[in-house]
Order: sequence, then structure tokens, then C-alpha cells
Amino acid sequence: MEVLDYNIPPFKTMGWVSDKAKETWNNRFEKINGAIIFTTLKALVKGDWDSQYLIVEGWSYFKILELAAPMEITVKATFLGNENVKGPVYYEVLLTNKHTDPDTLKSSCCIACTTAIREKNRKEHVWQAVLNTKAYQQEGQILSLSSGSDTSVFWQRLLVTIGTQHRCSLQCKRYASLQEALFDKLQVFGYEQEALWLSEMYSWPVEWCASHGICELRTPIIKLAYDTDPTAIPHTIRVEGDNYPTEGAPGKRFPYRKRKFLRITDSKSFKAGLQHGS
Amino acid sequence: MGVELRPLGVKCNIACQYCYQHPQRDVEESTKPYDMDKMKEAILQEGGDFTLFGGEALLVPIEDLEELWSWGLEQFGSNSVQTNGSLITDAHIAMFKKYKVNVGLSIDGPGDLNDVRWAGNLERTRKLTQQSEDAIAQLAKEGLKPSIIITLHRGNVGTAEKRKRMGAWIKELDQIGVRAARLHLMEVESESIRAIYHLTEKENTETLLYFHQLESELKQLRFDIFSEIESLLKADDHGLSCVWKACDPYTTSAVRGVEGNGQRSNCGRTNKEGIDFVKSGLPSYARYISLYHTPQEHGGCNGCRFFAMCKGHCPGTSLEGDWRNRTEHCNVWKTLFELTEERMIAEGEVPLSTHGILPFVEQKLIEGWSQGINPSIQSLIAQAAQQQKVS
Ligand SMILES: C[S@@+](CC[C@H](N)C(=O)[O-])C[C@H]1O[C@@H](n2cnc3c(N)ncnc32)[C@H](O)[C@@H]1O
Ligand code: SF4
Repeated sequence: MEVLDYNIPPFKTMGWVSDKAKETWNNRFEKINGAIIFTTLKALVKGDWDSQYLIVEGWSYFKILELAAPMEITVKATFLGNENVKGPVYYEVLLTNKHTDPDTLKSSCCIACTTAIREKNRKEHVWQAVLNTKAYQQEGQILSLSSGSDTSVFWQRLLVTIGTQHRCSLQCKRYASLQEALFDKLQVFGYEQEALWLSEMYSWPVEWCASHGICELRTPIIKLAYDTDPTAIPHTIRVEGDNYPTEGAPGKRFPYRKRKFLRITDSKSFKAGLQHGS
Repeated sequence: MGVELRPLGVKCNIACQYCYQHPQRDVEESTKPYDMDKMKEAILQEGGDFTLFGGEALLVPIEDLEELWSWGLEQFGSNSVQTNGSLITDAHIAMFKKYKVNVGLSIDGPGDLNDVRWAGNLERTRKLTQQSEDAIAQLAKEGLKPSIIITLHRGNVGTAEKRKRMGAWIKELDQIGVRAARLHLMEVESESIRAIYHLTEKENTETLLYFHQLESELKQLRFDIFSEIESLLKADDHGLSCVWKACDPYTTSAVRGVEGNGQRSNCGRTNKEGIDFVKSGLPSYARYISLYHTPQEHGGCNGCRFFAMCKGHCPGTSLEGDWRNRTEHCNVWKTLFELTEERMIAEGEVPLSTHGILPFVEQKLIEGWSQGINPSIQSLIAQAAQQQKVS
């Protein structure tokens, strides 16, 4: 991945596929975010977990600070990006319960990977993470992953996600069991519905495509563009999905559900026009 | 441009082969009914004056057109419509007069030169083309002065003979009172369309220069492309088309679409997925910061002295259909900029592209875009003049 020598200032812009998708899922996003935060805090208080990482957007960080103090949970935050530049704000927060010292935590491969990527001043590491997974297909600059891969990393700009900012592979056993533990705990703490929505979302097809420092992320209900590392040519990752939401739009390209018959350009009369023109 | 009202979405009575709205037509459910109150409310919220658009605007039943235009006249003092012209009747013309409707009409030439604006079969295509031609004549006769949009492709200017016939037709339009024509370079939506209809860079450039030459032989008809390029080189970017104004494909600020159900939409030119995405909130100018830095061999504009004026042009025409690249018509625009620049220098003027102030303008554009602001060149020049006065 050839990275060019410039930096796109932080930005995020989103396009919902319809008002209906927005009405339905915006609200669910908020509930999922709340559920992940509360579940993590409760699991820490209960001692199920001693420490946990979350990636959160600015407003969630302040909510966590407010909630964590009375629970005797320590919050250690890393600002993701450059504090002197205006734009959307994200944090990686490390939460530890009262029995745990955040400074003496054991490292792991994802913590080491995250530190190394930050030291290189890179914004994302997903391309390399896919190359590090065992089962992917490559066609030029398009990498395809089967469903069952860890897609949570793609949702970091939209949802609260569990785990460090970067990971070395998208089919990592540690991450798979972390996600499993999250889903179990969401259910235990009364967030069955949120768990269902989240697991549904993680099973949708997703496309990540970075070019010239701009990433375009497409999901069946929303697409967004945000700043990433500037590459000379597009690098695309496609994760096949098992599910497609009812609010998801049909569209002409991946990851949207394609129509078998394109109403205009596959029609006989349109083709007669092409014939006449050629 | 203000609000584009699309009561019937992209529904159309014909299917021009190149239409940039086909991705949407290909996958969308068929048209939903529209709601007059919701449309009017959305127009007012968007801050008004609207162009009735489509698909084909005149598929809207005449009673509803009357309701919209009488309301439009009352609210805004005039109306506009963009149409292919094939459905215009005497009743429409009477309404255009009564409700002060400015008419924009798209046609790519007379007779067979307009075949690409295909209506299902050849007989119907020619019949509807004739109806559009008759409509132009009638509008001109009634003093309604339609402005014409002509899209350039092999079907109308692909040979010297076709170009000559186009020239003769444009002279006729000039004679009967048409004053304004906009030339569109064709935006390509599929490789089959590219193979059959798209002109090469050289053909596009030669055609534009042919029309530029023709302009000097016309009484009153003007093509806006040439005057816009000259204005840009004179650092006057006030009132120019959206393609020169750093359009963000997620918000397309020049096109505030209102659909039949009141939903806000973007300009269809950047819609490659066939999905009418809901408009985003605040614009981002990341495309332009990125183009400024990205080398030209990778699809960017780095080092181009026309960048502050052209800005990589319309994202809908980007290389590989990817809005993060510059326009695929880059070399055509560059040639027009170069020729106009050359002429201005010969006439003793200093175009912005060679002016000492250019680095300041570029730097301020990048600073503005980084903060979510899209400054005009004019305002930056005024700022520089002010700074000079102070120092
Ligand atoms: C999409 S049409 C809708 C309004 C109306 N039906 C008409 O034809 O004027 C708007 C304008 O876009 C032009 N247009 C459509 N597809 C185009 C393309 N691929 N490249 C350039 N211009 C295009 C049309 O010729 C027309 O002037
Ligand atoms: S008439 Fe207009 S909307 Fe209809 S197909 Fe042609 S360009 Fe597209």
C-alpha cells in the first residue's frame, strides 16, 4: 500500500439510503451505543472483566467519564487524531475496575499492533489486517473476505466498538471470543434487542474503499466518507454478508442487493437504441 | 441554482441512452405518488424558488402543474422548468406565459442527430424529436426564449458532416430568437455507452472550439462554457455553474432536490449506485484538498495552474466513476483554459493562472476547505487587496 505524503484533515460525512432507513437505524445506533457502554461498565464492576477497551466518539467519552466515576472505574483515554485540528473527535478509552492498575496491564497482539500503527502516524490498518487473515481472496486491489470475519472495525466511525483501535487480523480468535463475550453480556444485562441488532449489522455486507486519503464505507443502509491514509490508488475490502436489512436499498454495485433485471438498461427497447447508435 | 423539484422522481417518457439518471431508474421501485403539501413545505424550508425537474417534468398532469406554478408565481414571482420538450402542448405554452415559466429544453440536434435521446424505437424517437423541435419554434414565436441544453456525443458531432449540420441548426435557433445554450460534455455511466457514444478528448476539444468559433457568427445566441472559462481566468467566479465550485457529492449544495414525498435529495450526477441518498448535513471539501495534493498521474490535480479555477470539475464526471478523482474531461478543460489564457495574455491581460496572487488564492482555498468553508476566488482577491492596503 503506497501512502502519499499529505494528510486530509479529519472529517465525516454520511448519506442514508432513505429517510426510512435513517428513522429506523439512527435510533437503534443510539440504543446500541448505550447498551455497549452500560454493559462494559457493569461487567467491570461485577468483575467479569478487569479491563476493557472501547472506541467512542467525543460525546460518548464524556458520558463514560460521568458514569465511570461513581462506579470506581478508571478511564484512560487516548485522543485519536490531532487535537489541534478541527473535526470529528474519537477516543480509545481503557476502562479498568478498582482491582486493576491500568499501568500494569499485560500487553497483547492488538495493543502492540495499535501502538505500532500510531507510532507510524497511520490512521487505519484494515488493509494489512485483511492481508494477515488466512482466508481472503485478492483480485487486483480488491480484497474479499467471507462473512464470519470481524467487521466491527469498519463500524468504528458510526458506533461504539469494543477492543483496541487496530487489530492485526480480521479473523483473530481473541477478537472473536471478545465479541462473543460482549454479546453474552449484552443479553445478561438486559440488552437482548440491542444484541440482536448489533449481530445483524455485523453480518451485513460491507465495503471499505480508501483512495487519496478519503475512505468511503458502504453498508446497506448508510454510506460514509471520512479521512484516512492517502493512497495513490483505490484499495478496496469487501466483506460478504449473510443478511440484508429490510431497510437496505437495492443498488447497482456491491454491497447493495442487485436486481436481476435492470429496468432500463437491460430492456429490449434500450438495447435496440444501442444497436441503432452503433 | 435553487431547488430542483422532482414530483415523479426520475420517471421519464423517453430513455436517452446516456442519461445519468438511469442507475437510479434501473434499480428503484416504480414511482410513488407525490404529495403537493409536502413538496410545497419542503420548497419553502429549502428557501424557495424552484425548477420543476425530473425525469420528465411535463409528465405531471396539467392541473397539478397549474397548481404548482400558480403557487410558485405567488411565492417567488416566476417559475422554471427543465424538460425534453416532447410533451409541450398549446396548453403548456399558455401556462408558461400566464405563470412566467422560464423554459430550459434539452435536445441534441435536429432529426437523426437527436436519436440518442431514444424513445423506445426509431419511429417514436423521430416523432418526439420533431415535437421538441416544434416546441422550440413555438416557444420562440411566443417570445418565451427557451434556453437549450445540448449534450455532445458521436451521435450529433461525431463526424465533420454532423458537426456542420449542428452548426447550421444552431444558426437557425439563433435566427428564431434562442439566446442561450449550454453544452454538456457527456458523463459516462457505462462502458457500453462509452464505446458507442463518447467522444475522444480530441473530438470533445475540437467540437468545443468549433462551437466557440461559431459563436462569433451568431447574432445573439451564446454558449455559457466559454464565458465561464474567461470569467474564471479573470478571477470572477460569481454566478458560475456548480461544476466550478468545489461541489461536495454528499451534499451537492447547488442542487437541493425535493422529491414527490418531500424527501431531500442530491444532484443525480454523482449517483452511481442507483440510490437516491438522503442529503448529508454539512458539506465536506475533502475531495478538493485531496485533489490539490494528489499527483496528476494518480487522478489528482497537483501542480496544475488551473486548479484554483477548475477544482477538478464535476465529481459526477470523475475518472473511473470515483468522485475522489478529477474529471475525466481534464484535458478538454485544460485546453480551453490554455487557449483563453493565451488570448488574454496577447490582449495585455494577466490571467489568474499566471498571476503572482495564485499561490495566495490556492493557500486560502485549502485553508477554507480544511475548516469546512468554500470561499469564492473573488472574496479571496478582495481579502488580499485589503491586506495590501493595511500593510
Ligand atoms: C436528466 S435531465 C432531466 C430534465 C429533462 N428530462 C431534460 O431532458 O431536460 C437534465 C439534463 O441532463 C442532461 N444529461 C442527462 N444525462 C447526461 C449525461 N450523461 N451527460 C451529460 N448530460 C446529461 C440532459 O440532456 C438534460 O439536459
Ligand atoms: S429526457 Fe431528460 S430525464 Fe429523460 S432520459 Fe432524457 S435526459 Fe434523462
